[in-house]
Amino acid sequence: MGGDLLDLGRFAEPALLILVSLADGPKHGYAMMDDIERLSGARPGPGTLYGALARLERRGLIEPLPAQDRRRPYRLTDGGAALLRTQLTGLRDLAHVGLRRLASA
Amino acid sequence: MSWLLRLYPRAWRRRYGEEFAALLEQQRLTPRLVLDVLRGALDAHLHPHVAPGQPTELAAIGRIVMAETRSLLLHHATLLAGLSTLLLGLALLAWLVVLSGNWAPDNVFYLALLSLVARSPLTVLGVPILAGLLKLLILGGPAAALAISAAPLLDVGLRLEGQSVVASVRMQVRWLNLALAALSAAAIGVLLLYTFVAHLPCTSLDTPCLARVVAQLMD
Repeated sequence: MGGDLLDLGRFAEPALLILVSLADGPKHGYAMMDDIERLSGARPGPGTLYGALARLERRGLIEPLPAQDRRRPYRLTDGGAALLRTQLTGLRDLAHVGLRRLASA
Repeated sequence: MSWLLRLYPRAWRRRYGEEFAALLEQQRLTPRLVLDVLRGALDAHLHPHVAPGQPTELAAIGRIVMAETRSLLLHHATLLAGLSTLLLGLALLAWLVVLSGNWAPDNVFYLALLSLVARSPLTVLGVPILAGLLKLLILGGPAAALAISAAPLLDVGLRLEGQSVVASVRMQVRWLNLALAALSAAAIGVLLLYTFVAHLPCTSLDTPCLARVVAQLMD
């Protein structure tokens, strides 16, 4: 379904942060913005957030839950969790290699 | 801040409008936020297929091809109607010539010549269009090749190129074609009428005369 996030262009990074944010349970838009700000230090704008959300939903990586007082929570799908795991494992390996090279320089 | 929501496409608003409006109401209005929403709205217009429930990009291409095919069927139906009128006119003319026993080569010649002259601008206009299509086929990649192979020739390449000047030429070609078909049909009608009257087996077009014509046709 998802394959990769790289082809999402400017939405690739917000999409990854959304997946990470949803990894510990469903959240609605405002809670995601707060969480992403804590995770990355930068708060995504509503336009960016929903541009990434629409793409993730289209790919079946997240799914909407019933709305609660006009706010709609989203959660990771199994495909989304698998893709997130792959992406984070790749980033961890990259970080290990980078840190090892820095240490030996 | 609900005015910002109106910048998004209708289909997008149907899906996300309520929750997006609720989110906007919780934000402070800043230039950065407005700019972000503007970029989001522009993205939603440029990439409508990313919203769930909207057709995929391939389906969107398919819709264009289908629309073009429908349009071209109409376009070609006009041409076919004109051509059929011409053939029918020629057949009737030949019939009348045979009936009257009076070979009238001038009538046939002028009829054919008129039709050719009426259609020559289409042929001339068709050359650059055909060249454009070939260029598109070579440079346009698989989507263009798919579209061209799925639809008849004249117009589809112009839509895919998406240039207003080309689209304008396309409209002109269509209207010109309609006008020429109407002109051609009218001219053929006048010639047919003239030929019919000229080859009548009587001097005035009254009921007994028409009865004789019908009787001859029945024989």
